[in-house]
Amino acid sequence: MNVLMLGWEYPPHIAGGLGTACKGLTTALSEHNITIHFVVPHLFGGEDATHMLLTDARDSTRQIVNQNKTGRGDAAAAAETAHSSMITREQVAALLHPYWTPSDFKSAVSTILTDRASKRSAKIVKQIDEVTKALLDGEVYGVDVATAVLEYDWFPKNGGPHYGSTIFEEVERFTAHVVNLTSGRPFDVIHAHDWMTFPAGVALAQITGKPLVVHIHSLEHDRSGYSINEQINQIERFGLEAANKIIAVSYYTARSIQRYHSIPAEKIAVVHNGVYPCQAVQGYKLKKTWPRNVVLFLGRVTQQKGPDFFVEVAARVIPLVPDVLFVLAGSGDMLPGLIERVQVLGLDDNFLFPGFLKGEELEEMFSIADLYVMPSTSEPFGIAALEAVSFDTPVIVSRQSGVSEVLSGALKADFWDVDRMADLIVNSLLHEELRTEMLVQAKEEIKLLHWDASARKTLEVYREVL
Amino acid sequence: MSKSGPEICMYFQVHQPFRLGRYSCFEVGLNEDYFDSNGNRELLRRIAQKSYIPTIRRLRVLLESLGERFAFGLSFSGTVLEQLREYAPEALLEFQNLVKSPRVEILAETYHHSLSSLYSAENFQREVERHTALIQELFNRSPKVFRNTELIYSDVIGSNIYEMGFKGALIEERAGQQEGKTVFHHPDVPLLLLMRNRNLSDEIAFRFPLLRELSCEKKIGKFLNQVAASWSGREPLGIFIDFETFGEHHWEETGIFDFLEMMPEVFISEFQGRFLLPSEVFLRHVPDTPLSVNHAYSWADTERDLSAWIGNSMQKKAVSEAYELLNSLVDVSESSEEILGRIKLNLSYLLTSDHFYYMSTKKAGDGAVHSYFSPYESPYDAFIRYMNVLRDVTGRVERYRFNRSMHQPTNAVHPV
Repeated sequence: MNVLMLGWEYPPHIAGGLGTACKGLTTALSEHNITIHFVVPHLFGGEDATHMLLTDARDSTRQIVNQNKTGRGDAAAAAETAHSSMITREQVAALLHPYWTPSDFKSAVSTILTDRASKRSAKIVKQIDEVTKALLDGEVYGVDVATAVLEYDWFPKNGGPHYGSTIFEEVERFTAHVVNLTSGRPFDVIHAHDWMTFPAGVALAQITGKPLVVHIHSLEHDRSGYSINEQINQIERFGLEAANKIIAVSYYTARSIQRYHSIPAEKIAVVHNGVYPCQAVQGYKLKKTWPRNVVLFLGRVTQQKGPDFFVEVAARVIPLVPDVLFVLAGSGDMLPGLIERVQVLGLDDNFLFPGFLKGEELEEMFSIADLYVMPSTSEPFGIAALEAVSFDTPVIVSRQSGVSEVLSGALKADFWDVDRMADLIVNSLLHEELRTEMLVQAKEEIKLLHWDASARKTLEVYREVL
Repeated sequence: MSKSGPEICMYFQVHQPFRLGRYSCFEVGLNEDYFDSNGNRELLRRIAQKSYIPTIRRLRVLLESLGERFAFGLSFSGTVLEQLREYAPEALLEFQNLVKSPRVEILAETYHHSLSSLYSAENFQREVERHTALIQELFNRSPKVFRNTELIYSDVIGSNIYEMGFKGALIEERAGQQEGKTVFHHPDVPLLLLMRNRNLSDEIAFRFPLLRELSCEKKIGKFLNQVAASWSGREPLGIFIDFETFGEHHWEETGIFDFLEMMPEVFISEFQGRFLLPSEVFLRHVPDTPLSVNHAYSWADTERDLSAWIGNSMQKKAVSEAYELLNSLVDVSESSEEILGRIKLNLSYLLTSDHFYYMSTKKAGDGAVHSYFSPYESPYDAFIRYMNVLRDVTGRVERYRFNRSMHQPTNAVHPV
């Protein structure tokens, strides 16, 4: 079976759980004789995806970037190559960032324009214009592709791609490139991850008549609470309605899809995310020399993730457990305000803001934490909670999360119930026995939350739509 | 005299704990109101309506119609009697009327349905005395046979039971005994022991809903054939189950009440069977076999050990801290001081084994039973709530000690 997958990001260059989920799912699917052609807006280099092929679609001639196993010449290498090319990843030009709002996008573009204006390349502008025009003439997709094509050097090492001036134009551009790039290639199913890829998915489904599966990792309602962007909401609904089948990462998300988009329940399949067991933990655990209890928040510092509740909870815990260190790791629009809030509350001595962590730093932080807290206001899944458990760190999650459905070895509270959240943290810090028992149970549970289980359920969805 | 058939000794356990209310760490030191009065009242009233009252009425009919050949034992925890008195006096009255029959025997147990037999011999005795006094007050009976919380038993516990003046005790089935033997004696003291038949008891207490396809006559036939097959021809079969089995664990719709109404008569008329009171068993059967039990065991969970209450590290911590605090108070002279009295009273309710049972993290079958009984979201929540409350009690003990030391008369000569 050939699957065309449309995504936003791929590890290690990720802003959230989506890239991690895509890697886990595609890796597990490739074990089931599924050939995946994965298209992302851009690649950064260093992506580890031997199980599939990844293409940089900013330049459609550079389709495959991950052929690092070729050229050995022996039979084993050939077999390995055959397997590794089961999945193709491609990269499509677009200044897409999964969690940006239109205003984030605008400010990023203006920064880039100021920096890079002098490096414009008339030649590339012209190329893109031609492609766009061809697509428009062919009425491939019924929305206007941006007419104002801006050129700047976002990723200098990779040349100078073009980006639209708004996030929606970028979605359109991504759509156009994906259609251009993939028409004529063989695939049986289109699998689109989250709203930005929906126009492309729908357009391809219309052109080819192939079934469309849309995968919801997060909804606009999750990300933006009550102040949703109506345009994004519309694109989301457009994709959900056009899809043959919808995959939701949790029952929580399935309920949201029904509530906010009036989609019938029978159209939605729930496929929980998985987690890969972590090998490196023991080393970090031994390294831990921090004298204090560490309570960790790790995620984007935005309304959706509830970092403000984390600070308010901390203010209640610290008087009762003075030797605690609250680590608020991540970056986002709420960070400056929260740093100020911590100062106003006089909690500086108990707080640390290490910024955005990734790779080894992130693993180390997970490992030294005594407790991971995820106070999200609306969390479709919350894969980070499973990662924390895989690093032997017990977790407290908000009930407004998908992960709370699958983890009983965790403490749970409504995100707004800061008193209960504080009570749970205080007791977890006071009683090692509580942390131990939670972790024992959670470790058992994450054994069952492996990606192969997710892949099998996804395969059922594919069979259903074929 | 007619040919005698199988003998059954039945006893029903009546127990409800005082469940804790929401109590966060921020209330420690400020709030002495630990228990969920509304929740406890509602639950008790529901159980009284669904189980206690309809079951009592059926038992009274059986006592009247079957006469001498029918009998059963009842064991009440002090905590359920207090709640009956407070929340469902009409059900307590029904129990009191029921117990007027000489074919009903009340057993002794710990007042708080606690684990004191394991952790505090002194408190064990105190609880049993307190329980006996309450039984005397409410039922005008003095129990002769003892049954410990969830049938927890060992040689040491047995000798303590004997020291308190009991002639017999009910215990859980134990593997490795000669088939059909159910009556034993303690190896060192003249305490008589009657063993439960786990299979027959579970047939009613757990597996009854599995028979839902069968008619009531077939259910009874199936059950009594098992009784007949289990009977050795000599020693009676112990069927020890929760009173709440009738109407609460198994709802009326399962046919449990029809079973209760008809089974005894069929047993007596068709199987020439007979029901014995626990004390009758010990009068009629003089045991010749000693039973030695080095490690305490119980009727709880598949393991039948103590793991239902102290199976994980949270439970061990909670149990050990509670009894540590309790034992530290033993040396405090009994005074009529109000503060200390209230602290001790509150602490006594925290000894109820159910609190620790709710903290169990067992999975599968036993885990489902634990969570069926638990009023809390998770074992962790049960632990957190309990430890918050215990911290408050501990703090009150410390403050009491501090105040007392400040006010104690001293021999020191103060400068004028």
